[in-house]
Amino acid sequence: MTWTSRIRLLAGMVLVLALAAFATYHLNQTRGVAVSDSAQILAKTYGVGTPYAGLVVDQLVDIGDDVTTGDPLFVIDSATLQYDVKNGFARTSTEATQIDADGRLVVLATGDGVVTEIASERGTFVQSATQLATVQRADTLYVQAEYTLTPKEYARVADDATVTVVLPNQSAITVHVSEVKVETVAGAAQAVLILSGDSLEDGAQNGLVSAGTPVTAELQLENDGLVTRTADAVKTYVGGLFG
Amino acid sequence: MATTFDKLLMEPRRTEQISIKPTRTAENESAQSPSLMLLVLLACAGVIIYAVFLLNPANRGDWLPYTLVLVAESVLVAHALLAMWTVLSSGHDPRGFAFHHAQDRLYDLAEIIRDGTEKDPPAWRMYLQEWPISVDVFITTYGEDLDTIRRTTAAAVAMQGRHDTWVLDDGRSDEVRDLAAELGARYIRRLSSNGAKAGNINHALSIAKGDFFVIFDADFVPLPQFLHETVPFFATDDVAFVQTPQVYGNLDTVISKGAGYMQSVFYKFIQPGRNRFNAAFSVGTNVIYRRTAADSVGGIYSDSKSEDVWTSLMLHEKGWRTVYIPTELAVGDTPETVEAYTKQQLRWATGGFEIMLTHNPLSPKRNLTMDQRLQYLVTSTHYLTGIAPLLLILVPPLQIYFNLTPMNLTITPITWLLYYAGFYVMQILVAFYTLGSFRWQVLLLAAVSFPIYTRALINAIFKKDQKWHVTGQKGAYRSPFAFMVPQVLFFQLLLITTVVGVWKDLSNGYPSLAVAWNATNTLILGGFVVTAWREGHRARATAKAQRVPRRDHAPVLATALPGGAA
Repeated sequence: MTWTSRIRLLAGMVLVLALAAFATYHLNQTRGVAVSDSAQILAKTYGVGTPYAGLVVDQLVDIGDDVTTGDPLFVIDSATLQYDVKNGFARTSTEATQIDADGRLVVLATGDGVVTEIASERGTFVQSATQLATVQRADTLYVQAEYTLTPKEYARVADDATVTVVLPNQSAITVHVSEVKVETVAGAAQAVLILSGDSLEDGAQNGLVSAGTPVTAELQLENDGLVTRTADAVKTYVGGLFG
Repeated sequence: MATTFDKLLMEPRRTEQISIKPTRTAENESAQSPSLMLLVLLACAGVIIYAVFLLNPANRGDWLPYTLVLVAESVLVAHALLAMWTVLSSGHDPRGFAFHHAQDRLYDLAEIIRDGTEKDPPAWRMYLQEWPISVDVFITTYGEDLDTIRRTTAAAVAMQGRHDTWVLDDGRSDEVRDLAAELGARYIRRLSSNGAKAGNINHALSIAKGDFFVIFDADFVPLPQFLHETVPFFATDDVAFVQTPQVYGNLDTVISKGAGYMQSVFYKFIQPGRNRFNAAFSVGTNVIYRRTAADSVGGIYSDSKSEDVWTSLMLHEKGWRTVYIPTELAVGDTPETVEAYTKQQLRWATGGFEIMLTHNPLSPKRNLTMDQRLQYLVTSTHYLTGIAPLLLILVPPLQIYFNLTPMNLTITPITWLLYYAGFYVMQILVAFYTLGSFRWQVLLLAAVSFPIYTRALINAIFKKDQKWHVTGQKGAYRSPFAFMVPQVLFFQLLLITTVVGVWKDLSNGYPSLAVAWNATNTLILGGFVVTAWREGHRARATAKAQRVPRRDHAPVLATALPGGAA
């Protein structure tokens, strides 16, 4: 072999080594991440109900309206209520209801939030214990994500693991695992993770951060091995070189 | 003991007697076997089931590895089907009545007796259709060693039937000139060396004037009956050349076994099959041409390193018929070293790709029959099957590093294995049945030669000549590794990938098929690297042994005297 071909061989080997090292680094990065089978943003809600049967004579909110605690939502004219009032059975005011001057029942909001559903429009006759509307509580957004993990991967899910949530517009927000439910199907862990974080701000990202949005949740697994340590060492070294 | 002449007198002239004789020769017997038919049918079924499995959209995986697999396997599957078709056609015997009739009357007995040459077959004048013919035998040399040339030339001079033997020496060696004179052969040396072997032969054709000419490479030693078995075909006026197989006498290294047995399917079944398509092509040695046929296409084609295939293609386009007989009539050498093998395959593959790129046999401009178009399409694309392993080798690393899977395997590995075996195991079975044995060396070489064919394709596309970074004159030690840098690099990559794959599987807690494949590929490439290393080791030892006496002799003697105890 001439020196030229020796050098070519050597250069090729170095190149292959670099290529393999890069690919291994990439593999290690992907190994540290589990991608959700299915994930969506959800929020806590409460249902607005009526204790008395009667006719909805006034509807004071619509879908999408912001409400705060104590805001009147519905006015119901109820014969049962008037009977109870006459006999002194009814309380004039609770956290959820009050009786107005005409002796009608006013249903109030019990928490801050947004009206997401109206079940009984004005003019509807409702039975007692009927749900009139649904209100999504403010600042209660969370992500529910389902994963299929191998036992070894499941073992690498940390208590407060970081999760990158990728929204449909490909922008990412960071949240943390707050609750893990798991069952085993065919030897693999079917884990359902509840993720929460401050960055889940309702209406952010052009309204994409809101209940019902499908997302991809990339769970960071504990990934402490030779490759990670080597990569970190190299990163620190190179970072030191270039300030 | 009966001499050749006695046999001539005593054996009945077969075409003048009413007799029933077999229409098939023993050489092609196995191509007629019903078992082979069954095997080929089963193999075809296996190929088709495998193709359906691959093409099924439900099994499609990630597009990159899926495309790689699909392209590679399509080429392999198409060529396997065409090759089996050709093998099934190979039971045909090209020798008809005209051949046997002409062979019976090849010599004039009265003339032999009158000249008193009964004991000298090389002096017997040959006749075709009652006319005397003249034959020139060309031995092309280019720096081969003297013993090899001597063996070939002596055997060529001693062939039965009157002929002139010419040594066409492009090596310009005075020793070869003296050797030719000593053996009674003529000697031609030309001033230029353009056109390589084709130019050498064309130059000789301007000097020799025989009706027929034979070409032997310097290392192919002909048997005495070469002319006796080939010349009678020319009794039919449209036969342009008669090609006989290359048989190898040096199957003793891994490389030569692999390269030699790789050829044997070609010479035992593919070429005889191509006879039926009138598309058998010349392989540049052990061949006899009709002079007028060669003249009609302007001599041997000299614009390509694969002058043999191109000349055949030109002859077929002119409407000539060609004959291939699987009878062993000359024994030669196949490449023994990585260097020789690489250069040979590169030359052949470049020639094939040149046809594919510049002379599409399917084009309506070509004056070929459908049969010939198909067979030349096979010839020109054949070496793509050698590039297929490159694509397949890349698939497991893609899966290991990037989790890209070629197939969406909802089926179990066993089911997958059955589909896979349907193709590959059946191919090996057919090869085993036709050749009577199976050589792992062939698989080894076929799997590791992809850099050669890829380079050939690139060279053919950009029309450039391969340059090698090697030094040293002919015959000196040259490391085989200078010719297999890509294989070494691929071995390195696969080895690292296997280690990474095992690490990944261990930490995942379950094994994967990709790692198994990758480990197999690593072993195959590793086997080639070890083969090359052994070859280099041997060659270095030989080179050292030759060098020692010349350089170190005197000092050793001088120092040996005082240290008498040693």
